[in-house]
Amino acid sequence: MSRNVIGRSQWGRSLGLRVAGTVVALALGACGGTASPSNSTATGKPILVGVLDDTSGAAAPYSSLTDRGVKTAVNFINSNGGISGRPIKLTFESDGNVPANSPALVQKMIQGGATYIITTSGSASSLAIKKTVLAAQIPAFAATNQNTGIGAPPDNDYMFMQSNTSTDIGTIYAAAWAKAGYKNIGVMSDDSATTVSSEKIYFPLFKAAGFNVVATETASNDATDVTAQVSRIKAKNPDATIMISLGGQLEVLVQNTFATQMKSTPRFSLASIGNQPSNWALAQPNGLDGLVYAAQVDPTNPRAKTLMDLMTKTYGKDFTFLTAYEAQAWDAVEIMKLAMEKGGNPDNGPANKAGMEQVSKFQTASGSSTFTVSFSPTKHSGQDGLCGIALVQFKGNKPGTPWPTYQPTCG
Amino acid sequence: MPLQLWVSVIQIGCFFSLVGLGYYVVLNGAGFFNFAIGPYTMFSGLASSWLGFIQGWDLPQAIAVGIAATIVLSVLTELLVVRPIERRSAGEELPALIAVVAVLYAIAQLGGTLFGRRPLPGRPWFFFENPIQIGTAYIDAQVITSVVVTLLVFTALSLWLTFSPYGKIMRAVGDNQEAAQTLGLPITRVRLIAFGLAGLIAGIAGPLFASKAGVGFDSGLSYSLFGFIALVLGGTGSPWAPLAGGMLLATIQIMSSYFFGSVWLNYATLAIAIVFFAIRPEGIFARRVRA
Repeated sequence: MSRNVIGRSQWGRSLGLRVAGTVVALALGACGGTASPSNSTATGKPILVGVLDDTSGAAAPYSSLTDRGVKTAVNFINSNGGISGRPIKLTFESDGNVPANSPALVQKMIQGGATYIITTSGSASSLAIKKTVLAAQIPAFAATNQNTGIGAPPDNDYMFMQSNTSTDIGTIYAAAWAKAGYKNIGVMSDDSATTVSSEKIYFPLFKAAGFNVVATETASNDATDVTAQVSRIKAKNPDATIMISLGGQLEVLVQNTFATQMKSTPRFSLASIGNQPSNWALAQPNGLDGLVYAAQVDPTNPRAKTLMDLMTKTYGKDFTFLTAYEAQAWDAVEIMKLAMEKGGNPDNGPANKAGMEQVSKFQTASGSSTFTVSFSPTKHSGQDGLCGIALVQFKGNKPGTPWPTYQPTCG
Repeated sequence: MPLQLWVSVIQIGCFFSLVGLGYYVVLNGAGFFNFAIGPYTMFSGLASSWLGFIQGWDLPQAIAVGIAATIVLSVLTELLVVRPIERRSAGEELPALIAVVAVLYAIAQLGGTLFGRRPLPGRPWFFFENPIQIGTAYIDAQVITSVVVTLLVFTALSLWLTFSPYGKIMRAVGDNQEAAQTLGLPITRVRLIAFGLAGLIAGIAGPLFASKAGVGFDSGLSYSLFGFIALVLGGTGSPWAPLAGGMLLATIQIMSSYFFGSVWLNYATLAIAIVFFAIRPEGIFARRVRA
């Protein structure tokens, strides 16, 4: 059943929030974002936007955060004039991170009138809907996914992504390990469809960069123990380990075991664990300390700071940490708004697609302050350079400071 | 072979054993495989984690409420699901079994709705800073807690079955339910006690194990599966049988993963279950009943 969550003007009803919203709108506008500072509630026929999310599968821990970012941005836009005066209305469908479910659910939302799709589920789900949105001529935007194949041919005419891709992250890690002098890498991963498809990108990259993947171990997301897998990796004596997973409780179980059994071996991870504050508490004391992950929020980015203020005002004590999922979701909705304005006809899929392809040098709340996103008819992976990522090291079971050995640059 | 593997065998073996013991109690007292044991375990772990981590309750209170809620759930399963369905189906086990599988999923969704769908951390029941090192193995407070609590639960149940009036009746019912009924023993009450005890055991296992890897609303199904296999391997001949079965299952899972890779974990689990079903269906400890 569809979950119609956001209609017009559910947010900003109190004077205080309206004032806060206006201040944020002005700040974001001044900083390069696209938020309109009109401070008027949108009226008129709603623009229906479908969100493909995951409320129960392996992607649920981050999909829920991404959904929150989407809702925050939509509420904000609706309270500040909407898109050409029209409010955005969201409709949600959960695929449970099962890619086989995704095309039918997207088709259902399109048949229900959605003229734009945002995906917040796993990468494999976004890959699975490429043909569906192409056939329906409705653009889809993978808000947080990193799989390189999402924005690349074939069938990418209506598929867009903004995040630094798996290829980018693999490139960054290869450069980082080369700088640190590592040669032999041990890999631990989960068995989700998203991770399996990501590995096909990472492994050739690591090998091409001259690294030896000396151990590859897998555990299911509901594993009760990973001592055997970690022992097998340890037996190969790698210079460093990397965890490729959707995060969640499995990653914490693995990191706890690494912390005990391979205390002195440097640990790396993808972005997921750094963006799941609720999972940090699962770790044993200092179980995550020293772990380096690919962060996609830079607290010194002024747009991230402004978004943090808005989230704090909106969610109070329920908001403690701005995750990349929320920041990228915010960016995704702002880019969608810009595209619909540029396209000139939000009810028309091809017009929205044409609008997307005109988005240029959009300054994001995610990534570093100089990170931008651009699209064109031949570029549907929006990231301009590698500086959407920073390598950050955990300290006290929380993201701490930038990893001193290596940081990616924008160039 | 790293000594650490045996530490893991003992820790997860304790968990499988406790869930298996939950099955054992209901099977003895009610002649029924209660597949909802896993979700009870999940519910208790999730409830106590939610109360402790999200609501800020003290650990003992959070665990006590989690256990109490699980006992209530288990008793309600008997009163509202198993008993009425068995009555209507003239004692046929299959309809009630199917209904309990539905209960399994219902409890998972109830847990997700009440406590959220993100996994929550458990808290160690006690904690010391540096794990004890024995050779290459590290033994932390969670391992010690698991072993001590598991042994206490098994010992207490064994003593209760041997010496208490209702324990003796439960053993009699487990040996021969029809004979026990003919003798006028309080079968209905014993069934209720069995479900309540299973809830208590699952209620203890949930928060105990949540401190290792956290607990999520969808964890219950695998708990049910592993507990059931622990019972199949151990048999029903002794209250200590699920402990043997749990340890054997844990050994097979950990060692197959270590020697052949993690992909073999499920194959090895399935293989050992099939071997026991085919060659020794009564398990390691077979029930002996005097003629």
